Amino acid sequence: MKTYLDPKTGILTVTLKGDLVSTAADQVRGQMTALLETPTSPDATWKLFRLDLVTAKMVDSVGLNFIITILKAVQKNGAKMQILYTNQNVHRTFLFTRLDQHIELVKI
Amino acid sequence: MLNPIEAGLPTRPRRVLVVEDDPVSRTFLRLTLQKRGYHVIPVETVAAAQRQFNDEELDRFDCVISDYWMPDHTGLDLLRWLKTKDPCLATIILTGEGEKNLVTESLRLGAADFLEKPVNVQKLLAALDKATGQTAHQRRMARSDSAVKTLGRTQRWMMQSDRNTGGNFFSEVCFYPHAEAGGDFLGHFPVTPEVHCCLLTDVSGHDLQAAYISAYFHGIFHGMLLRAAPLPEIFGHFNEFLVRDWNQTEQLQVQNAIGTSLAAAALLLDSRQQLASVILCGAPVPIYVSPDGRAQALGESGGPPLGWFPDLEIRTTVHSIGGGGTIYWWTDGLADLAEAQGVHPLCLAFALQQAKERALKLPLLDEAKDDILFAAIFLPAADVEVGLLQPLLVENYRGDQDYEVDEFAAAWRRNLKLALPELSEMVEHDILLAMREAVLNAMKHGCARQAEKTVRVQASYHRLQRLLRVWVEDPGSGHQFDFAAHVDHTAQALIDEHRGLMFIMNLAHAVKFERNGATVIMEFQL
Repeated sequence: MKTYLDPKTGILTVTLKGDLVSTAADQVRGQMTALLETPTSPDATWKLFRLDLVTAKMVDSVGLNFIITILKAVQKNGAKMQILYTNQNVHRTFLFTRLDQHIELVKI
Repeated sequence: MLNPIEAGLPTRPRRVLVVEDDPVSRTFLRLTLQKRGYHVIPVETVAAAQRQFNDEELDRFDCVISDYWMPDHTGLDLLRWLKTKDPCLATIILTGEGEKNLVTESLRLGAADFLEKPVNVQKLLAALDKATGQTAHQRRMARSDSAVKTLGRTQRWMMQSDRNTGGNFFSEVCFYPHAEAGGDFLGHFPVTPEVHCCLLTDVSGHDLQAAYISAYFHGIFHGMLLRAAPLPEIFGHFNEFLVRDWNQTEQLQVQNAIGTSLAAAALLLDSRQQLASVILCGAPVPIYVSPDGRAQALGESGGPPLGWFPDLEIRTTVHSIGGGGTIYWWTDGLADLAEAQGVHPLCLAFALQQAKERALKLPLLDEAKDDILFAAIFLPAADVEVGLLQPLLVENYRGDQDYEVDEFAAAWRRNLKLALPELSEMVEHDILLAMREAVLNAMKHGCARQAEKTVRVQASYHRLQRLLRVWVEDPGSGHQFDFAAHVDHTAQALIDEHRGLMFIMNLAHAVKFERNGATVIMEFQL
């Protein structure tokens, strides 16, 4: 998991490598929780949480629940969430679970 | 000790063609060899030698001695020509002193030997003795090779579908011996119009002896079956023969060999009582598939083959085969190759059948280390088409193996790639994701992640409908709820519950539940 905060735009980008499935989600869950629960200084506040899933070819239900956990934490912070993807199957998963109604999906 | 015929040696005086343009040298060779009992045919040129061979069959000669330098052609020209006519016939080339390059070239082209001129008589006789022996050996090997190929063709012919099956049953067989012939064999023995017996054997080794032992057991089996001997008695009789007689032979003891073992399985199929009686001795377990595609193992794996222990316990298990269906059966060569490829034996068998129907050979067969025999035995029943829904994999996972789901999914993918290579990326994704969700759900809820509980996964393919059906079963009591009402709430309120089910319902083309949802049946249109 890689993170990058752009102070100019206020975008926090978190990049996950590979599929977001049960086993992968379990590995980064702790890191993600720590990232979202750490209070940010006023000059480093992010307004957009960007989840980079560009290398993912599959997202399963545990992975999707992981995204929703992130979304709830992001909304609690008063920010918005965006997902970057490339794979069409991943996009279909987001559509049939109606995630597109809650998160901005951006195809790269 | 072998007699001359068995040893491939001629029973007549050995015939030698001498090709030499120098009359003095030609006469010397003729007289020297005639004095030692050889029948010598002297000629002056390569052209004359070729005429001689065209007039007579080459196998009437035991050796050729040819000078290198001759007016029309060289001795190597003759050697090249002879290799195309009879590669078994040995040739000795005569060269001048110090012509090492000619010696090298002669040997490279397959000359049996070379001699420098002037020829030393002792060296000539030694070389000739060796060369005629080489011709005899090569001809014997060629005859053996031809016999093995004939045996292999006979084995394949005998195991063709529609050859041996009788009564109410028919079968389809794929047989790929590791060598030309092999020790794997499937025999069909109709007992009555309603009762049919099948015997599958796999003898250790891939040689003629293995093929002979296999055929010998099939002969004994048939004979004793005709005398109404019970199957365990037949197996016991042959085990005793192997342990007490065959494996005690002097030859085996001298070689300190472990002896011959025979993995064998017998199926007694009774279409009237709808029962299958099974005996397994070191052979893989046959899989019975009901007309709706559900697979069931007929017995338990394990147990030694025949030929190891004198006090071998031979058990018969009886299984219901009501309503027709198909029995899939194979020898361990198929199981070993499947394991090496990381796929299920049933999937490999399916791929073999597909290739056979298209008159193709699967490239991965080149990696087989053993004979491969696979059989599908069809058990027709009224108004039921059998063999259309063919299993590709049947797996059992422990309830606590959810952390290994990536490895399971990788294996499912390998199976799909092998059995259905034209599957689109999208359909493959949907199948793998739906299977993953169903298996994780079964482990979490149906097994409560307990190691002693088992999730069973089966995938079968319907060739005519191009349909993949997947069963995922757990031992739990299931869970009944209104999915349609739940799905909107899940999506709107962002709640986690039953999200896996939402995946399954959206990814599969059709989903059915049995046992209150403890069995999930997913269908994918390919």
